[in-house]
Amino acid sequence: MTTFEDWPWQYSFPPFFTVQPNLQTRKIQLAAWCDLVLKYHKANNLYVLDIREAQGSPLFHNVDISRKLSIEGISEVMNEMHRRHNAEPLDKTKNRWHVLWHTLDEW
Amino acid sequence: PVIKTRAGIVGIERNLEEKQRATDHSISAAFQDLSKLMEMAKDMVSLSKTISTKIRDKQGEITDDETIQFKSYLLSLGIDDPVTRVGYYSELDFVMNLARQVAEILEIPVQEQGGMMSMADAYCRVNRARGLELLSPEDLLSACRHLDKLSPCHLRLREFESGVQIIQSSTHSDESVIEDTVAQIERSGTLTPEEVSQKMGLSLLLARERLITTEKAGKICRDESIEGLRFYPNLFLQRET
Repeated sequence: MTTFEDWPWQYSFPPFFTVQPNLQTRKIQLAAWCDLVLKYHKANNLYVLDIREAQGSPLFHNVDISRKLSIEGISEVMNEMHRRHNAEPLDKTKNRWHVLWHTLDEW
Repeated sequence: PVIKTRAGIVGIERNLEEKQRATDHSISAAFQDLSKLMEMAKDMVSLSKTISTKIRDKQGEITDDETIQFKSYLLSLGIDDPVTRVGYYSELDFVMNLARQVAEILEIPVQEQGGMMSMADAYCRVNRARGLELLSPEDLLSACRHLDKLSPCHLRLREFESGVQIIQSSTHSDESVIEDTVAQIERSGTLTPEEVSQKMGLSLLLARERLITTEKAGKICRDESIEGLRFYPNLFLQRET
């Protein structure tokens, strides 16, 4: 279903799928995640992300190295995207998100 | 006089009964002695408490020597009352001497282990070396707290954030540990704590602490999965710059 081929190098780096305890490292890690989520949704013309389902998609689950990002990790990524104005929660529990390829101001 | 019959079932029963009575007697005697002993100790405790209040009240009048003596009395009783004692003297002869001895015993083993030794290891080594007159864990710990006050001493006590306490040689710094660990990981690509402990000849506990220290410095990052905990060079930071 997906034709996304443009995986960054981080995607095949196992620590990418563990939320890093070191603050500085985590900042860089989350930034990379945000970029990847945006690129992926843009390339596949997707704009809704459901955290409960997201773990099944290849975005958060790299079968080749059998690593997936935990649910908590995904919500952290989404919160970070929210801070960057690249995502808006659709419900109060923050399970469903709109992914904005461009920030609302840019639209 | 009473004639003791040893014959028949009655004789056997009587014999058994007598034996039981004898053991009963010795047991109750032992407990009686114990309770007497405890009473004495109770007196000593209350006495020492009044002395410690006295020390508190008249701060200047008691000399250091007296307080040191008092502290060694307390230690010999097995009463530890550091909250009220600590204010009056930071050093106790016993502990200082013990610290000196511990430093002597451990200096070479610590160097052999790469500059770090966990408290449990240290406890084993010291007590095995002593054979008799063993140390209690508290004694060793308080001795180790005073290690850095000894002038020609190359060891000190250190506590990690995980609560693990170790004895570290003062020539051994975090920077060199981090450098070593990074080099080790870069050589093999990725390592688990178990592998580090094997490669560097360290205990698992210390290998783990080493890795976590290095991670804190941002030199490596972790990969947690069902396969276990692995550490990788921190490519996030390295490729960033």
